[in-house]
Amino acid sequence: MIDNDRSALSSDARLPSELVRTFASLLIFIHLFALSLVFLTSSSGATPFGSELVARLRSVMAPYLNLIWFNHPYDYHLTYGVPSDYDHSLAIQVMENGQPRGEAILLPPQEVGLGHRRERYQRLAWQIAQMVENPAQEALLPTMVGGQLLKQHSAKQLEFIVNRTYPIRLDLVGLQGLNQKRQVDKVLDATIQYLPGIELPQYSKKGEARDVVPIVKPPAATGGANDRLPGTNPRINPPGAITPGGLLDNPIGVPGSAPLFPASPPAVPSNSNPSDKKS
Amino acid sequence: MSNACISYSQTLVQEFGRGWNRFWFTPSDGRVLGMIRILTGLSAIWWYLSYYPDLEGWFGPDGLFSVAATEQFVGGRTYFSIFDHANTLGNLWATYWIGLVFIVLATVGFYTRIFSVLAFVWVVSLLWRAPMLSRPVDDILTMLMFYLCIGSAGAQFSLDRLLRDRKTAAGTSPQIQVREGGSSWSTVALRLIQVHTTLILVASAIAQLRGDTWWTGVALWGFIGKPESAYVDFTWIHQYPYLLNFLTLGFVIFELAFAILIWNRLARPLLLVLSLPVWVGIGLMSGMLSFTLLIFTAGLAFMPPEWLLPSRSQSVAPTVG
Repeated sequence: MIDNDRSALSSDARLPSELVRTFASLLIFIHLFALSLVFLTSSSGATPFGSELVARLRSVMAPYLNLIWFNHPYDYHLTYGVPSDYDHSLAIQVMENGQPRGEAILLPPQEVGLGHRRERYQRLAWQIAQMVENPAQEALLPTMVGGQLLKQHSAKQLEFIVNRTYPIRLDLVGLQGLNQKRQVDKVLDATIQYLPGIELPQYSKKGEARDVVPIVKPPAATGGANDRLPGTNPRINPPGAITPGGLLDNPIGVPGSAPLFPASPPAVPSNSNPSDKKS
Repeated sequence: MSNACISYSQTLVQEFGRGWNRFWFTPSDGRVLGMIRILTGLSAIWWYLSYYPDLEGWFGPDGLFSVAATEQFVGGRTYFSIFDHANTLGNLWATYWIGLVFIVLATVGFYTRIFSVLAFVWVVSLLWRAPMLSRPVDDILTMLMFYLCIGSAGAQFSLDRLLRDRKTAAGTSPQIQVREGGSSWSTVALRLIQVHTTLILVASAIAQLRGDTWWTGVALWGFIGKPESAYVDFTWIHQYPYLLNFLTLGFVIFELAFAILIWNRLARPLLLVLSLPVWVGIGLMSGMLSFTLLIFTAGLAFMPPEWLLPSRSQSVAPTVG
């Protein structure tokens, strides 16, 4: 790949000293080794070479990779056309005496156009949606965000909803055109509230037997345990599995199960409007 | 027999060493790296400023993301964020504006090495302040900014260069021309960007091929079917299913072809020219323009420097492509 300098190099006259080259080569090798571990242990399993050994080696290099924000798999599938790839948003309603107080807070705010801000809000909603099925993690972000909003609004209770908006269904365009009603799922419908005698806001998911998950104090940090990146070993955590480590790793969603483009149109088209509820 | 083996081993080691040195350390001028610095810097400024409207609401004393909550989310990973220490509104804003100054100075190439490192530290700090908001564009931005810290990114198209040229013209720094033959560190930075970008494209293509919709040629509808999230409405494409198939499959093929054939000197210009409409098109279609522009910028590490105008008093330097 060097275009014109093979002969000039013969004397090594223009290269750094041998000592500098040796040291630099060592650093390059270590960096590329760390980088290769990242690529070999992608959380979506895109690179099928992950093993327990590779995952352990990556955990050794994790502090270095984390510090420079390189501990991400870089396997951008962009979209599989599955629910986890759809747009996610938050709708938060402050409550007072069981009644809505003011307008719902929409995140991303409606006035925010395309770009970084909107993507960050969508990403937050996506992260929460990914954690919904993980009992150990699901309350973390809703209580973080909801708790602060309660403080800001001097309120005791709010409804916390994560919506997932489906794209226009390609298989229904022929029947209903591009203006077909878009399906919106409620991925999460929860209540965040302060209860008497409990300092921290409490999270309860609607429609569940356990209405309140008591959180008296935040769980202690794991002290480096997550540096092992459990979500990065596809043999341990197959695609779609959500783990604390994987949440930070997965760049653009994880493969889900429900396809966007079913082989044949469903008997009853999904025409629910945004106010429809689907728990 | 043993002599032959020893001779072969020696030759192997020597040739590998020469090849390694040639690949990583052949000095190259800083034109390509300078261009990447400017494009990455502009992206970083855009990215950084986009935090402005939400800075207080997110990271302020009563913001949505308290430091303690973020630490809980991060779960004990090793990280460092300057913004974790900005615990008052005044400190937060001061830290923010200082970071913007660093990024601007790195972009214009003023004391480039120093300010590139500082700009990188600030950008990563902001990311670690709320990692739950991170997206793929953040990965590419930090990747480029990290490698710009290594190379002589301010050797060309920079204030550093301008000031150096003025000093040289004024005769106050006559020996400066000696340094114009190129820098090995520019080559190291460019090579690292090239290797990293190649790996990203291969990993992405493999990830895409794990999904059925990429094989059936309709995956891009996943973007197109959300016109509210796209810069350009491509929904008309539903009338041309073969075009949708072609674009979907063509994109994966392009990614793989770029990763492999970009290392071929003949194919390189074609792929570089093709990469502009491909990445811009995907960006407009998906709404992820910032991400695709940065991937495009990373691919420019393969650009032959002859494509760029030489700056004043440009001396002949080896080209890395």
